[in-house]
Amino acid sequence: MTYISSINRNYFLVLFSNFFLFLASLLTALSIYTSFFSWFFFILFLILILIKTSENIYKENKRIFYLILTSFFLKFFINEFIYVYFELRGYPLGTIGGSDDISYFLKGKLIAQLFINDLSAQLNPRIYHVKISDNQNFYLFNALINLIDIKISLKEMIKVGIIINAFSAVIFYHIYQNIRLNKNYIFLFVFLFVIDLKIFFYSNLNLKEIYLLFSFICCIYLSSVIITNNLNNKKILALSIFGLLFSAIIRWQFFLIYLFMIIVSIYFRLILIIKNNYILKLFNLSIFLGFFLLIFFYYEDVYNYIIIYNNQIVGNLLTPNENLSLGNKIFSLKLADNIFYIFIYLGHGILGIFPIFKVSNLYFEFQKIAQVWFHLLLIASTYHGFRCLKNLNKNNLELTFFTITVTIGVFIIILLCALVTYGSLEFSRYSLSLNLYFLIIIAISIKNLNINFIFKIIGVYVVMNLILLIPYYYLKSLL
Amino acid sequence: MQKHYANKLFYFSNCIIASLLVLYFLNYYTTFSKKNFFYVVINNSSLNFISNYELNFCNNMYGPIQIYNKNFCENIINKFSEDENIYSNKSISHQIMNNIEKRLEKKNFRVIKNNFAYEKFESTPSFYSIALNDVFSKQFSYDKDLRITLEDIKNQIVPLIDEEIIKFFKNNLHNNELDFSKNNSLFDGREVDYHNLLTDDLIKIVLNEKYSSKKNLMRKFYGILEGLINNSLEDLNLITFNKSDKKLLKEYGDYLHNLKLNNKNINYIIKKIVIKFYSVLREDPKFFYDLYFFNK
Repeated sequence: MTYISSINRNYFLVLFSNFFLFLASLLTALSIYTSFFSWFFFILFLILILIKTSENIYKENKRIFYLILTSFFLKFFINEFIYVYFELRGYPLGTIGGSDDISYFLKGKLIAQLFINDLSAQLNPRIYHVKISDNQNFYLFNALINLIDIKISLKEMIKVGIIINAFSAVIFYHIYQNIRLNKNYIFLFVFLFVIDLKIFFYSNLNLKEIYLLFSFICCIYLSSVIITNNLNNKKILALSIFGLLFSAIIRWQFFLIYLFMIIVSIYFRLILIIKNNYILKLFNLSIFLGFFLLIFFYYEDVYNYIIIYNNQIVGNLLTPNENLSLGNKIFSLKLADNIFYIFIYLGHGILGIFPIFKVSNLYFEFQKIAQVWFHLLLIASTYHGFRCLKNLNKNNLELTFFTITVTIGVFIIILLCALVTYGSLEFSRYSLSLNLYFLIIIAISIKNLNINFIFKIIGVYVVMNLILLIPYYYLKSLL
Repeated sequence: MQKHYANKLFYFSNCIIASLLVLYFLNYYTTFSKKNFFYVVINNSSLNFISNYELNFCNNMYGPIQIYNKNFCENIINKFSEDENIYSNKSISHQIMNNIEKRLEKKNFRVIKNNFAYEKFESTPSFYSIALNDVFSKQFSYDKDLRITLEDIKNQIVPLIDEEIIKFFKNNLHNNELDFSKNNSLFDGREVDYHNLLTDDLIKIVLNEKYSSKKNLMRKFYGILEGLINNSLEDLNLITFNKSDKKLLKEYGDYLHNLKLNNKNINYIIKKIVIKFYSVLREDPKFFYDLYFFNK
């Protein structure tokens, strides 16, 4: 690979140049304004930004640079192939996702089309009065992409998500660099992120999750920068701040969690890492605790709110058809009886004991594969998790606090996911950030990796499945 | 040798990516002309209003607008059960749409049996209609010939839909005249002229497509009327009128509000405006549907 880079340095130097990016941005803006090949220029512009942001990676580790670019183009064309194939097989708009991504796309398209045809008065006036916490912002985001080129189809909309995913991989590399992972392993973990089946599956659908994952990675990068005080690249910093603010538009609640993670990391830096005046530390700590107490007293009724939400909103939205399976029994547990049932939901969601729904389609089949990948990562991270706990005490403080910050953030996210989804099918969709967390945990604790380790993980997975399946089939034969 | 091989492989992979990108953009810029769709969106709530106008006038009786006597209204309201929401009933729209569908199919326009029209116009959160079931929509496709322009296609479709809606009105609506002939002597000739001007201007403003769409015309009309009577038009911040219309509305608002404060017979004028509006709506079928030619 070094041969290639030495020969083609000039080739990339053109793409890395600021003037070229400026020219591309000018052309893109003009093409959008004049509606002249706007989609072509827009996609090329995004690819150029991707190349520009990964300039640092090119200088440090060319293999990872090529990995990110190649994976991006592969995903781009695989996505095109999948959508054309399924469209020919009669799936509406070629998506296997179904209702959610189609409605996001079509509503966005309607808004854009009415705006472009000068019929904006036809739109419901409440479009201008969207609350910041509302889900509707994602429809408006879809409308914005549609405004670039009104001809785009759903598969073109998803291309934006795939590029965002490639940006995530770039930032992911910088996180590992910040926590000073062994350079031999960085390629492996970026590769694991790039081929992650669950993330790849959801990045092929027009959903908020992939954008929120990007924001989550941005947030982790920012907290790693704050805790380790290791700012390598200002371009990445700008991109990650943009990603963090982007989550405020897509999902306000997640933005608050990310903000909380950043506040926690600032306090870790100020109070526990920098060894300074103790009075100042105590003062800072008291402000921090005061902040929490204020929130607690302000939202006094959190407990009741959770129970009301559990009883009314989710209960009405999701109704399993039969009441025979174990999944359905867990599904019907009410938080009003015991608030700690939330942890049962959580376990239920992680293990994937889904309730029986009458509708079964290709989406669920793909989701099962994504779930298997998730379980393999779970086993690998638990295997390494104990070692990680040991290392945390011995190793430097920065890494310990970084791990704690990410753990707190992920824990809040998955608890919320469990509450909202009852640990049912949607849990695997909302908890996409858990995959990332597992990758980070493995990366922190890894010392030496060999092929036996992979066989061990698969072996444990098969044995665990057998332990669950043998009694299941035995009991079923008795009935 | 190895260097040479790696270099070639690099260029080869770059060429593949570039050619695939070219193919992708070629495919993108050449396939869209084949996809031609249009949507027929029937304004369900306006249709329901027109076909049940007595009930709707009575429902507004307890506000500032009173058309009928209380006794008369009580009888009408009792006919309908409380649960039945007249605005969300889609049976009339279904009936009209079925007839339109049959006639369009004869002219080689095909109904697309997917959920896209519903997803776009009707399902919540709706960016198109204000309340659920305000509209009823269907998607149709057509083969585009280079010789036929979009205007030609529109000319084929519009009269057909107009005819169907007029046919429905003829068959289902009776020419019940609304009782407002009494108390005509309350105002002199000058005032009557002013009232006519007020009515015409107000209707023109309500029906102006720049301010708002044809959906929910009645609700909007009542909103503006109520705002004028209570002199609280600023509360309707969802609609921004242009300067001349704002001036007119303020003048009429002051007039109506003064009449209300002086305990004059304001109901008479309001009845007149409402009934005029009703008759204007009934005469023109274009207030009851929208036609959109969108690609995809």
